[in-house]
Amino acid sequence: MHQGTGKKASEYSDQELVGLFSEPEKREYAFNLIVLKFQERLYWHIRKILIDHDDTDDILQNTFVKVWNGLENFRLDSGLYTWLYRIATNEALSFLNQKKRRLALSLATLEKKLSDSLDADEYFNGDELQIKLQKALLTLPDKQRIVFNMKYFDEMKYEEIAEILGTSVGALKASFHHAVKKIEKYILEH
Amino acid sequence: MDALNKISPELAKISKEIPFRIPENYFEEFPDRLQGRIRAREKTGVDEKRMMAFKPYLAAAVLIIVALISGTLIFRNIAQKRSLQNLHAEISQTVERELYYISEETILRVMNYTTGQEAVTISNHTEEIIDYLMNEDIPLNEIIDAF
Repeated sequence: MHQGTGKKASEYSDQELVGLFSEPEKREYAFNLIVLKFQERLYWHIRKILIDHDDTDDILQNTFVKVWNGLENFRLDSGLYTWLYRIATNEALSFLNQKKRRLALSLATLEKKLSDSLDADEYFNGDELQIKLQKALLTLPDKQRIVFNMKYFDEMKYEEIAEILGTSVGALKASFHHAVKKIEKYILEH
Repeated sequence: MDALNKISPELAKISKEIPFRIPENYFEEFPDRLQGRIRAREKTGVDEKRMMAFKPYLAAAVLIIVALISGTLIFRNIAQKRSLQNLHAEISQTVERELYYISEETILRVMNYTTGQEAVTISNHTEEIIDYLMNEDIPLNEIIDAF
């Protein structure tokens, strides 16, 4: 519950949140509501891309810092969640690319590193099949992995994913289909 | 997800639960940590904004300084080359002028002085030998062969 309105953060609409944020004296309060409303979903979205908790924490903070700086200019052309998801996805992808460049890693090496960190991660508690699925996911190209995550784990509609990633629904369907086939092959072979 | 079952029955068997965990109270503490970071950035952001306002002037100043330093270095280099060329010309002119007034004898004396006594001695011996050989009526081609 927040500031005497009796409403939970999740009960505020996008319009209400953006409206509150535009009032200077309520800016911090509105931002706090946005964080409370979206932090978990964005965290899991980023975590599935980056695997590591600390990296995810950094990128989640970066995402919200960008939201804080850019929300004033947000015009509700798309949903707030779509916009947040897009920022988070771009931040996570940039982070992965920077990591590859910084460590001069090839794609295969980065996959191996992420896969190893999966085995050693104290915050990973999946069963054998889930570990295998995560490892299979790491063999996919970054964008294909994101499509798979959004469709499979988050059960998002293709139209929503298309709006976030700026891709056509047809391309997304094909991407998901390829991802599933590759994952199945990996699981059967390992 | 029936569609998935059709595409991949193997995958459909796997639990969709996300197998990652998070540190205790992570989501409860996250908003405060984030606010702290934003406040810290806002403080430094004021300085950054000032720096951004000065950035074009700073860039122009840096460019001017670099141009001045490069110009000075290039000018000095050219001047040094010129003064070296002038020096060489001056030396060769002086040597030519002075050599005109110096007699061959003086030059030979100086050469003998600089090459040392040994060179002079050898030169005297050679002349003596040649004189001796000439006096003994030895044919000239044999003398030449001997040297």
